Amino acid sequence: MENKLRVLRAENKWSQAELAQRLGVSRQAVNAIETGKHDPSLTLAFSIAEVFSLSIEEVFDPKS
Amino acid sequence: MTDKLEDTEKRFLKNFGLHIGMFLGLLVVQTFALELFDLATWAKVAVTVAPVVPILFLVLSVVRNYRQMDEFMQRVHGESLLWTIGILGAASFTYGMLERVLGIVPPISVIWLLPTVAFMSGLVNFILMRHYDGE
Repeated sequence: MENKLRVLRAENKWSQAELAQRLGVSRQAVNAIETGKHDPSLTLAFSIAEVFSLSIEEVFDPKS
Repeated sequence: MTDKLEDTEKRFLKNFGLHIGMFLGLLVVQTFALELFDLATWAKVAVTVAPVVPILFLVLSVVRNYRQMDEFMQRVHGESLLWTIGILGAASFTYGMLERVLGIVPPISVIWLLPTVAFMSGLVNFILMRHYDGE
């Protein structure tokens, strides 16, 4: 599943560690999601969308 | 890593060190007690298996630490354990066949099972983490 996490994170000038801190997960988790190696759970996907004040559909593309 | 995860990790490492220390201490007690004293059979058994107690607490610590991990870390650790079980299972089965059917290899004590599981899962975890953490 593709996502815009890296772009959104860059727009906010956050490092992976900073985003991980906001989400309450490890930096490795953020990296794995960004690189498409890990699809987050619904709970984490909601948290990610909330951190960027967006909807889940605006962050993740389930069709890809 | 978040503060909560960092605290969890620190607590785990502290408990890990404590339990390993207790284990080594009880190993020393075991060695000297069996060597120096003429103990009753029940006392010999108690002293011999005593080092297992901190190992059980260590296992409890590992499980608690796993429960505190985020979903990605749980996935990596879960995969590590699956690989470890699969590889060790296949290897021990192969060795067992060579030992039992052909008798061309010496028997290995099961005392090495836990250290091997710990080492192998750590190694596989390291490899998987490098795989997932790369670009």
